[in-house]
Amino acid sequence: MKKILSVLLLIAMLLTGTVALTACGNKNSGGDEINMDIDLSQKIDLKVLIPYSGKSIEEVNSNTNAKLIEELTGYKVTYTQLPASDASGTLNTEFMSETPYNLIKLTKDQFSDLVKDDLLVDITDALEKFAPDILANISEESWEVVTVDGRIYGIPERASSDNIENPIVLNYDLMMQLNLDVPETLEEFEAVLKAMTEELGAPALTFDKYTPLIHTVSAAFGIHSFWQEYEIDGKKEVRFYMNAPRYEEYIAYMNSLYNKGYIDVEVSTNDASNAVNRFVNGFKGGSGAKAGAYACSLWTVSSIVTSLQSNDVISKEEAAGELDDYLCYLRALKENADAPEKVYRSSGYSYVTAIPFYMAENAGYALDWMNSKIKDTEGEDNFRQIVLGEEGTHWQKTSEGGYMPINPAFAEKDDAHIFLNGTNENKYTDYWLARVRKQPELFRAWSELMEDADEVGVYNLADFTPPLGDYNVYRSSVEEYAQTQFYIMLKEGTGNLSTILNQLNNAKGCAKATEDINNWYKDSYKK
Amino acid sequence: MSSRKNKLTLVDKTKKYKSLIPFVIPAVLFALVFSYLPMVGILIAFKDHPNFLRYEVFEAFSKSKWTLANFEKLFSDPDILKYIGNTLIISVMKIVILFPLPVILAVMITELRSKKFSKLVQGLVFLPHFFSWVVIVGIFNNIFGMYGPINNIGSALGMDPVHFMGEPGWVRWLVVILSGWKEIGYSSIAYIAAIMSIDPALYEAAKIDGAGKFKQIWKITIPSIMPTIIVMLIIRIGYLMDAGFEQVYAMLNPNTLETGEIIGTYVYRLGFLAGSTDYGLSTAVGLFNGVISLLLILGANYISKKKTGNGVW
Repeated sequence: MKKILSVLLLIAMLLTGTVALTACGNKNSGGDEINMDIDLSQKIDLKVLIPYSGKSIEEVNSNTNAKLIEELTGYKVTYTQLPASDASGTLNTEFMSETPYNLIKLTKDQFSDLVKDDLLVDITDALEKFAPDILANISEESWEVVTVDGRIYGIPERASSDNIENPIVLNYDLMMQLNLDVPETLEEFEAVLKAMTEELGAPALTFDKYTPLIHTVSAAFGIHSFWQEYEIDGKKEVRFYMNAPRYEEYIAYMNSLYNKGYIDVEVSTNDASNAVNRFVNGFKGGSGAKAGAYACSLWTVSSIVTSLQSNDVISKEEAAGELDDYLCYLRALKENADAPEKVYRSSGYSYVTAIPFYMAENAGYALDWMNSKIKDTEGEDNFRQIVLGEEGTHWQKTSEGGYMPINPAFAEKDDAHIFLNGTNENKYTDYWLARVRKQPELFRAWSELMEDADEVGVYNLADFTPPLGDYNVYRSSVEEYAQTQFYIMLKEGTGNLSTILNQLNNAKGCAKATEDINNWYKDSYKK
Repeated sequence: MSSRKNKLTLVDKTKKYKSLIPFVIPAVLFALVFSYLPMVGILIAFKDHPNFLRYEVFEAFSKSKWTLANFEKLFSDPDILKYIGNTLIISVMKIVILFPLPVILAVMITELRSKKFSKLVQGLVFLPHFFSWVVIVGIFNNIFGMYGPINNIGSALGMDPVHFMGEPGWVRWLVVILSGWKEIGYSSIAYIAAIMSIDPALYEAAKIDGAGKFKQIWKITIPSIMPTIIVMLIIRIGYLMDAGFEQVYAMLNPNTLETGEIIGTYVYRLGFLAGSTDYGLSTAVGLFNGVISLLLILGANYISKKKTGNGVW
């Protein structure tokens, strides 16, 4: 008996040891070179890791768009997705265990981290051989974003459209009742909020806890985006918005609105649905949480319309049309009536698709697959099929040559974006507009906000940065800190601003990040 | 190990109790594999960004330089002391206010005459334990909101509405209240079990001697479950540096950081928000927390042994 026990104990100990050792070992050492002589007619099965899609992975793999892509490209693809929370943690584990993914669709931050640690395949030379259509349909500017020391490490996926999309939406019904004009200047805006607040019996302006820069308001102080160029003492330099010359004035203005009782007390705890509810309640009588103005994103318009309908403010027929009697959109305020109008215009790269270093050998197949998806010519319109579907089934041409979705068939295409790896930049914006046309009010809002976009739009320079050492290390802590401090100063005013800026620039690393982004801006940014 | 005759040496003990040894093997193995082996990882706190994703563990380890930078960063931050303070204050408040409640609840539940009703109450008070903090905080955001029932009652009594969730003065109390609401029922399980195992003969004897309900509870129930209470308290004190990350993270907002930010949430903000592979700093904080917790637990056990004769070891 004793013997058996000691033998068992010994085996258990050995097992523990082996498990511990194998857990540490096993890193692949070969396969780091791209095989340029593969036979593309002998297609292999591909494995692709995508960000969390909001659907179960079974639904993703059986999605009609996935099937369509398989038909169009001839590659059989299995998709796996990262979890919704702690995606980067899981991504790290996947790399540590070298899970064989031919392609990984990454956020720009994840891409920067992985490139820094030398974990992605340099695809510069392979692109010419395997992906000529990708090269032809992605702009020079976009390639900059994925280039480190002159070498390319991923396929950039540019945002669908450069939108002006951060308005304050106003309760136009209420404004008409109160005989108010759409405000243009800070003073007029305050007067509107005052009148609305008195009528509603509740603070007129609401927003959610993720809105540190009310773009419509900050525009009047020359602050448009997170990172932009300012002229300071005759010198031009890029700064983070908290370091903008007139940031203090912006905060002081917001703080005065707060102190006068025009801003929702609960903004620091509101999520988007709270804010939408408050805004929609402003159309109804009765007591409770209400607001007449809502600093939101353009994409919230859909939920506002839905919510107006479900609260019986508008009828089903009205919801299917334009709502110019109910809503109006304010994109930028001005300091005085003569000042030029400037406003933040979003852009950037939602994703970058890259190949993990241990899967380099078969990179050719993966590039070939992506190349095939992006093709969009007379004969081979793969990209259009994936994004829009068939003419006559999913969409038809409008009189101006735009693409009009055909409901309900077009709903199939709602998920198409999950399956994109880089877009055909020459075509995508036009195709994508079909999504905005789906709801007339959304399209009206978009069209109004986009008027003269090229003249008034100011970009966020951070949307175009390649991986930059210190900038990438500190960006999120800088932005997080700025957001936190906004809600504090909104209540307490600018008294501690110099301490806060000192903390931002030193402890949070904003000074280092700013230096990095300025160097890049001077040396390489060509826009 | 002592040479005194009345104490057994380790070898003697091993010989005397050898038949019991196989029973502890699984536990020892478990501790070795899951608690002691990973301790090697503490070394990461002293390394400069080892690249584990690209290289084998040992190779990555030897490639990176030794450094104390993580500890410098940790202790040079002027805010860290404030957050350690918040952590301790919230933890102590939780222990002082919440620790006795499950004992009282357990006594009340076991004193119920109707077994059915007792089961029902148990089920109901356990239930909140199984909700996630995000859900609970969402519910209480509404209850304590500007337009929620608490403020409605307040304004009916002529008070100004208060944004409780956004008031630095309220956040610690709310953390305690919510934590109590969620966990009291579940924490009472251990005490209920302890009370069930008290010999009923003791109560019968007490009744014959003319002791009332309260006397019975005070003289029999409480002393009988005292060892359980002490063990739970010592274990609880070991978690003093952890004031409930998940709960506090869900409850915090910019306006309450000043009084509500604890070490756990601060480190999360510092390191993980960036989504980076920088595990060094959090390991350093983990080590620091671990050392303090160990000291606290040793201290609590020592005092308890001195005063009551009960201890974990």
